[in-house]
Amino acid sequence: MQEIEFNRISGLHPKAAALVKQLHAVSYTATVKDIEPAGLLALARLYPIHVVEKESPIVTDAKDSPVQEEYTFQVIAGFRLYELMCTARVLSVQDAQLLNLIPVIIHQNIKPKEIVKLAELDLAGSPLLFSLGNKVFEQLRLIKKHVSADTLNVLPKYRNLRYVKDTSLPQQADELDA
Amino acid sequence: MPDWSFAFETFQLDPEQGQRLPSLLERLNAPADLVGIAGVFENAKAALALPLMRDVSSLDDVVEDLRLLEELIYRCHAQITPAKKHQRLWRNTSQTELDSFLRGTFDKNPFYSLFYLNSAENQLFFHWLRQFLFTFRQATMQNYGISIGFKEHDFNTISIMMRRLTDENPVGPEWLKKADCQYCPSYFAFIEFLYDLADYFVAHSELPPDYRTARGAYNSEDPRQKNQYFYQEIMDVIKILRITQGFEKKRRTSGPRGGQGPGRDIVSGLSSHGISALTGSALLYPETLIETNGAPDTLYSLLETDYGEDEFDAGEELFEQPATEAFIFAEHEPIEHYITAFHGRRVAGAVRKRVERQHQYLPSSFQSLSGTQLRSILTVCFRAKDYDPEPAKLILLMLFCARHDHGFRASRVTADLSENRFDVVYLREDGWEVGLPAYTINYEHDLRQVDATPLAEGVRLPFPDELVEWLEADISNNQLYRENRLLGDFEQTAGIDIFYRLSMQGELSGISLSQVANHLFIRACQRFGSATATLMFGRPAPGSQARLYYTALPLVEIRARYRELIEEMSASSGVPLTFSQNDDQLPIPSLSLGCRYLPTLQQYVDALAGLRKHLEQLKKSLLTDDQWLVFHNHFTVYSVLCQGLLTGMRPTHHGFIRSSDILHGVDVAVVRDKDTEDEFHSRTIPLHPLAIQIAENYQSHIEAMAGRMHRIGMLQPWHLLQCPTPFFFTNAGRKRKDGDKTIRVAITPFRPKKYADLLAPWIDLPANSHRRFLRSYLDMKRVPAEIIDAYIGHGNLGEHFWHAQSTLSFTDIRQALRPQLDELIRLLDIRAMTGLCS
Repeated sequence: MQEIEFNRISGLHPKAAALVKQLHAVSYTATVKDIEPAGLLALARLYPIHVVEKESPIVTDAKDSPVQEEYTFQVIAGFRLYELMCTARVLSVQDAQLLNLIPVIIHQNIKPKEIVKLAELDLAGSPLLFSLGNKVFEQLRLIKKHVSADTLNVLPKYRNLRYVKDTSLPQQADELDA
Repeated sequence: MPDWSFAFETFQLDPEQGQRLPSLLERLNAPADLVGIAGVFENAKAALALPLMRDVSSLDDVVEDLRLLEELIYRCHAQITPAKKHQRLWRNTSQTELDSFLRGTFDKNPFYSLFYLNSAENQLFFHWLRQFLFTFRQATMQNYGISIGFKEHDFNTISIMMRRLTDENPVGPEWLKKADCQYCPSYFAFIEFLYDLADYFVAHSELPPDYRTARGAYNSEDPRQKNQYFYQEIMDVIKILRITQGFEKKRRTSGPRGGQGPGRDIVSGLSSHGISALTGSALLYPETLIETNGAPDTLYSLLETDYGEDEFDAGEELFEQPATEAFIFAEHEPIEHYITAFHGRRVAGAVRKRVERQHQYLPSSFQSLSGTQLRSILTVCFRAKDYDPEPAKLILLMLFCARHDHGFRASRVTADLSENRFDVVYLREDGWEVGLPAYTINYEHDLRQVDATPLAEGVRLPFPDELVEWLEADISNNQLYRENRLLGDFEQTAGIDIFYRLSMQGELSGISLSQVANHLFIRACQRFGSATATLMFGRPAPGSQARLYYTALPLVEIRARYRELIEEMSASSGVPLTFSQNDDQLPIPSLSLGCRYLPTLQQYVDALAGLRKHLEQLKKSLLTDDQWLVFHNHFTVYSVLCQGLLTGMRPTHHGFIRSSDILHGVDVAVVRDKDTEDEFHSRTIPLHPLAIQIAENYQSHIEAMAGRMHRIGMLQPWHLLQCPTPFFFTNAGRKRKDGDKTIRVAITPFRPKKYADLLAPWIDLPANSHRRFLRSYLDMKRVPAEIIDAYIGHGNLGEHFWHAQSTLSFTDIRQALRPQLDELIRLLDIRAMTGLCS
């Protein structure tokens, strides 16, 4: 694991971006206001974002210019965390500057096929691994009981676990939840 | 048209995509051999991934088309393999000089090299340029419709100048390095980059003194001549690019063209006022009550305003407020006097007027009549019936119609007033009513045709019984009504003489004719505000016209208010004036008088209910296709509409009071919804709690939506546009062919036109109609005009609410408005909806 500047990540890898784009309408329990940047950073140490290097373009203009060499990175897995980090920075939430330097795993010499596989695994596997079954808020309340307040400080979602009916989901999903 | 067979062979597209290929290659200005096209594709992708500029992003068709082409670019780019046969298509890694690699394409394909070029100094500037070049023809055509004034050689001029930016002359690259091109929201912003470049160039290179006018020479030995040539090239390109803004480029050989030119009309008839030429967007309006009897001190304001596209789309009225320049001058003064008197008058006059209006006074030189004076006039005139009816009648009509004597010239007697067509003053035969022509409100633009309720052409005022009796007797006894004329020849010409004849009797001494004619008008201004007074008596009131442009009142209400005035007059004078006839006995149609396009309460009730139902339905299908994007658009429209009805926010700029605009704790919003050069248009609005709730719901909605935006790659463009809130997705939810679920949208910041278009299925009126509705509604509820002014942002020049001299406090406003707004919420059923929440 390595720490890199957030600005050096140019975005999602094109292959991954195409996959992620298909799942644009999916909704998650937490929004950007539910996890503070400090929490996001701690979670990134636990589940690092995976990146690959991207070559910079060759300069071509009216005069003869030298080739520049500065590499940037593209994300191939850890999308949800990366998404929340981007959102936090864009919406300039408090302490968003904590995310200027983030831990990542840099993959070298990885084949395009493997990139797709890793991305797909993240998209399909992570929700299975992490989503709570039914009665989300009840379960969160249970978790809250057994975790120290110190830890929960960076997870504002736990401050107010009032069940708000999620009207943005289709009716059937609500029934399952109940 | 070039032969694209090589391209078709290379890219192997399905027939449908193949159809679009020629149009793509033409836009990229590609040569038939597609040399280095891979580099062009890379750049085009990057340019289109940036947020689309406003001129493009608000056009559904253009965005759809662009996204299709973007897809095609990805497709074609993927078809280029590292195989030897495609070598020529790749970006050349060994030759990085444009001239050698793209030799032979510059003349025929001027833009191609710009699409290919990679700059070490400022790639972003060239990406914006590429977005501009890729879209400008279509966008200009859509935005301005008519034929576009580009010439073929214009494109070469652009190409040469842009390439020259990156060559050996050090100033170009220096500027590129320093220029901040992170953010380019519109074509105009891009053109501003070039202005900046021109300024930089002037400051940092040696130029001959005549550099602005002469051309210079590129091949000259003198570097100054060379610089001058380059400077002129930049200016040329600016002029060419400005065509996309609807400007016309002056060409040496061409004659006048159509399109938006500076050609403005000269308003005739004002030369006698010492003004020889007024522009088409100027209005002369009185700052004091108009005097006709030779009074020299009538003050006028001459207004000229510049009018932004957004203000036009929003339906804001040009003459609504004093803006850019205001000249106040007295009639018949030579021009030098205006200049010398200008500053002093403007400052002193504004302060005086502010104090007077704040305290509900009109200028002291035009006081209305006292109770005793009224009593004298009424008794003298009523008594005069038997021996001198002609002048008495004129004076009574002047008093009750609040008109000067000349206003009765060409007046008529008629049997029936029910037609509501008034060109002159009409008196009903039985004397019960008088009909006055409506005041003509000046509009700069005819907006699009909408289903708006028609307005009455005149107002009918009821006369009190005592006057009716007097007039009736006059009609039956007197021959003056010959040829249906209300007044005889004698009266029509000799108003002043008559008055002096009466005042000779001693009882009326000290009363001027103007006082008689102005009394009721001033009382109406004081009691109901200048808009009601103008609508009631059909004459202009001094000061800002804003109230008038936003008020429409039913005729019934105007009549009711007139009765109140007469009753007040009766009380103060002690002369009995009674109304025995009720309005319901009279055939009055339910017409209104005042501003155009006034929505009804029911229209808003239906619109809000319809939108809510639509949103509830959309919420059920958020997982399918791009329905959440459609939901966002309509949720935005709903939030803006609901909040607008509670705040009177202008639908320009952001059109919405965001959570960040609110001073929480005092519940006050500080916003800017209007621009003029003096920048004095920030408004401070006391908020209703529901308006705050709406703002907060919208904020949570944006937070919940940000993740989704990231996934479709729209978060970054939104960020580059500096996170405009609220915003719309252009081209969301449009029907595509079967199975095609690709999202093709752009982000466009709030714009009144887009807002009105999205709202049109529910309420098809100009975007700012809610302000007319609110003003008229509150006026109907008898909220004092000053309070409405402060709330809606109408005020006279020199008046600032919450200023040290202002006598209004937030508490006043809140107390006056809260019950009315609560009732409005109940009547319209305004509710704060939640948007996306996870």
